[in-house]
Amino acid sequence: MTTLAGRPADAAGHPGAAAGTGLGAVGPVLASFAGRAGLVLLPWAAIVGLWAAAAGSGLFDPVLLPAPSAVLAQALQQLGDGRLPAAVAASTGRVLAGLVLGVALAVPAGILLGRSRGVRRVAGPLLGFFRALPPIALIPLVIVYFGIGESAKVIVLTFAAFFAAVIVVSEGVAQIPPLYENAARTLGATRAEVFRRIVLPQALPHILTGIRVALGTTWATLVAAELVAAQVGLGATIQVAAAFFDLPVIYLGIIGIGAAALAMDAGLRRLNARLLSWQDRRPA
Amino acid sequence: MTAVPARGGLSFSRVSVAYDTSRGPVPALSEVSLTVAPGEFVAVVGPSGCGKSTLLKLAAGLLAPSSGTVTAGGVPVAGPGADRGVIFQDYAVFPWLTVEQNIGFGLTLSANRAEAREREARVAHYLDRMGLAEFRHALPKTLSGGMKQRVALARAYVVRPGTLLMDEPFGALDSQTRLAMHDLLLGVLRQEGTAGLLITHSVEEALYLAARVVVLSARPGRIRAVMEVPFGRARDHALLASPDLARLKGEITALVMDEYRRQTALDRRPAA
Repeated sequence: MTTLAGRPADAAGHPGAAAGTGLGAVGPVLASFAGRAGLVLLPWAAIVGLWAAAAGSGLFDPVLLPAPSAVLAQALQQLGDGRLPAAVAASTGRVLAGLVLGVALAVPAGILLGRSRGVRRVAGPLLGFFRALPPIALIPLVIVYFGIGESAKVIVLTFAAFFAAVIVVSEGVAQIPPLYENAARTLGATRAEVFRRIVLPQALPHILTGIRVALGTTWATLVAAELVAAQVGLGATIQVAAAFFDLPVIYLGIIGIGAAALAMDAGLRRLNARLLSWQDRRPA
Repeated sequence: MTAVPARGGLSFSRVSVAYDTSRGPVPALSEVSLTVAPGEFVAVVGPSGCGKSTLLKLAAGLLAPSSGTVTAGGVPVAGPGADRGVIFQDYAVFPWLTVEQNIGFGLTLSANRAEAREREARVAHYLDRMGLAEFRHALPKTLSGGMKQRVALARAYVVRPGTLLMDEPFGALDSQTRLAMHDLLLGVLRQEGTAGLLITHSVEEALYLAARVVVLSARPGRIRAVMEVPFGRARDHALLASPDLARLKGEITALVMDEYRRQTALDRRPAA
C-alpha cells in the first residue's frame, strides 16, 4: 500500500515528467491504431490494385475482365435505382431465415448427439449420409415438393445451415470433459441442474462456432437456393447477369455476397467476445 | 476454542473395483476395508496407479464398487451428494462464473434449498476466511493456482459437508502456498468438525495433516499398512523438522517405494 500511496506524490512532485508521459502515450496509441487499420486494409488494397493493373494492362479482353471502376460504376447505378439494396435485403432475409431455422434445429440435435453415445451410434451414419449431399442436388426435389415460392429457397438454406452447425455442436459437446459436471454433482446438483448450469455454458462456445460455420455455408449456398425461380437477390442477380454475359454485374453480386457475409460474421464475432469473456483464450 | 461435534465419516467394507477394458476387467482395488471416524482425518498414500483415486471416487459416489459396500455418515453411498464435498486435483472451479458465484453455487441448487437463505452470509464468510474478498467479482482465468484452490475449498465448504474428500489437491501448488493451504484446511476442518479423506503423493503432507496414514499396495490396491500419527491435533510447521516425523516419513516412504517397485515390475510384464 505504501508504494501505491507514494506514486501520486511522485507524480505531483514532477509535473513535467507526468505530462510528458501523458503526451507521449497518445502518439503511439494513435499510430498503432492507424497501423492496425492499415494492416487490415492492406490485403484488400493489394487485391484491388492487382485487379486494376491486370484490367488496365491491355492483356485481357475488357469484356472478360472488367476493371474495378466498371464494377464500381455498376454498383453506384444499382444503388441509385434501388436494385442493389433490394437484392441485398432479399438475400440477407433468406440467409437469416435459413440460418435461424437450421441452427434452431441443430442446437438441440447437436447437444443430444454430443451427450448420448447411443444417439450418436444410431443417428451418426444418417448425418454422414445427408451432410455430404450438395444442396444444389436437392433443388429439383425441393421444387417438386415445395414449389418455387420463398419457402423452397429457405428450405435449401435451412438444410445447409443445419448440417454445418449440427456437426460442430455435437463434436464440441461430446468433447466436454466430465470434470465440472462431477464437481456440480458432488455439490448436490440434479440432472436438470447439471444440464442447465454446467452443460449449456460449456456448449455455448460450440453453438456460437456452429452458427459462424453455418453462416458461411448458408451464404455459399445462396446462389443455388436462388436458382429456384428467384426474381430478386444477390444470387438471382448473378444468374440473370450470367445469361446476358454481363460480367461487371456478376462481379458486383459476388462482392455483395462476400461483403454481406463478412458483416454478419463480424457481428457474430463481437457477440462471441461478449458472451465468452470468461474463456481463457489467446488475446485476439 | 469450544469443542464442535464431530461430523461425517466413511466406511469401506471389503470393497473391490474392476474397470472394464477392451482386454477384459482390470482390478483396481481388492477387498479394501477402511473406516474414517466422524471428524477424523485420514490420508492415503501409495504408488501412482494403485487405486488411490478410485477409493476417493467411491466415497464421492462418482463410481460404484464391483463388490462390497461404501457408507458415508452411516448411510450407503448411492451417488454424489452434498454431504461429501470433493476437492478435485485440477480444482474444477467453473470458469464461466465469478469467484463469488463459484463459492455460492452449491446453495443455489435445489438439494440445498433449506440453506439458500444463508447464501449471502456464508459466501461472505468464506470469501473472508479464504482471503478472497477483494477478488469476489474476478473470473477464474485471472486467478493463481493457490487462489483457485481456495475457491474450490470454499465452494465445497459452503454446503457444510460432513466429510471432505481431497484428490491430490495440493500437487500443483508451490511449496509456500502448499504449507499455507495445509494450515487453512486444518483450521476449517477443526472449526466445523468435518471428517477428511486425503489422497496424496506426499508422505510428509499426509503426516502433517492426518491422524492416520493408510498405505495402499501396488495394483490392485490393498491396504498394506495403517500408521497412527502420534502428533495430536495441534500441528505447526516446527513439526516438519521433528525427528519423530522424519522417522515415520522414512518408514512409510520405504513401504511406498517397496510397492512402487512391485508396481513397476507389474507394468513391465507383458499383458498375458
